[in-house]
Formats: sequence, C-alpha cells, structure tokens
Amino acid sequence: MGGEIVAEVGGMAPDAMLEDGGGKSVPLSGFWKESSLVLVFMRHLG
Amino acid sequence: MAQLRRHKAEFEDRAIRLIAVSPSEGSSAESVCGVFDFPFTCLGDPSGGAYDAYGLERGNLGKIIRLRTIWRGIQAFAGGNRQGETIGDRFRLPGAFVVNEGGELLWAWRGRDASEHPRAAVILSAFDEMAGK
Repeated sequence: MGGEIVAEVGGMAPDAMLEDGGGKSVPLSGFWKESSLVLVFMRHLG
Repeated sequence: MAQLRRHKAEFEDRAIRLIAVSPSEGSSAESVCGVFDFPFTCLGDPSGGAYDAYGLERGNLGKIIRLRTIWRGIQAFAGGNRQGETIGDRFRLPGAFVVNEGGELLWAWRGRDASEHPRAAVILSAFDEMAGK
C-alpha cells in the first residue's frame, strides 16, 4: 500500500496490511469485522 | 504502553479490540509486547504503509528532539516510566483511530511530535461520546 490514502473521519478506514508475529500479512478488515477497533500507532516500541 | 495496559478492563468492558501497531517487523512487535506484558494485539508495519494510509507522517529531527519532548521525557521518567530499546522507525509519529464493525473511521487523533502519545482516557472518552454514553 502506498502513501496516497489518508484516512478521514466519516469515511472508510483504510484496509492496511500489517504483519503478525509470524511474519504473515494480515488485513485490518479481518479485525474490524469481528468488533470495533482502537488502532494505536506507536511511535516506536520500547 | 503502560498507561494503555492500566486501562485494559475499560477497553474490555466496551468490547473494544485494541491493536497496537509499531513501525517494525511483526516479530519485533510481538516480542516487545511480550516483554512489557502488553495485553493487546501487537502487529508490525515494516514498510510504513499503514502509517501513511492513516496520515501519520514521518517526523524530522525538529519533531523528535525539541524542548517539549525532552520535558515530557523527564516527566515520564520521574513518574517511574522507563523506555527500553527503541525498535523500528524512530521518526514515525504516533496516532490513534476508532473504527466500527462496518469499517467506518469514527475518530482520529494524530500526534504532532514525538512527545505526544495517545492517552487511554482520551480514547475511551471519544469512544463513549460516539456510543452516546
């Protein structure tokens, strides 16, 4: 996914692909289909 | 992370799934979350594509090292918080978003510099307001 999509309140959330602990790509939509989400983007971990 | 963890029960009470995204490999995200006993789903965004898609910019040195970030770092240290090894892109700025089950983005918060972090109380308050509580 490139950088051209910017999320706007009231619109659809971008269905970004993320990486789980096993290195597998997982779509965010798989999570929000199950329940409401709070996505917290950390500046870094540590 | 510690302040989010302290509000775990409040997120659970609202049936909210909290996903923490880091600008790193997924394995690093999972590993660090384990070390900090972070009770939420931890995923990585090594390419930064999700940060871009949600409008979270890459800061510059001026947004990472400024008087306010240093002062807040001192306050956090005085409050007993300790930062471990930094993993991932150090220049990514933070953000928080609420998404409903239909995939609609209900609320967005974007950090302006490295000193700002999404506070659990602010996220929960926003969620309650949208839920009409």
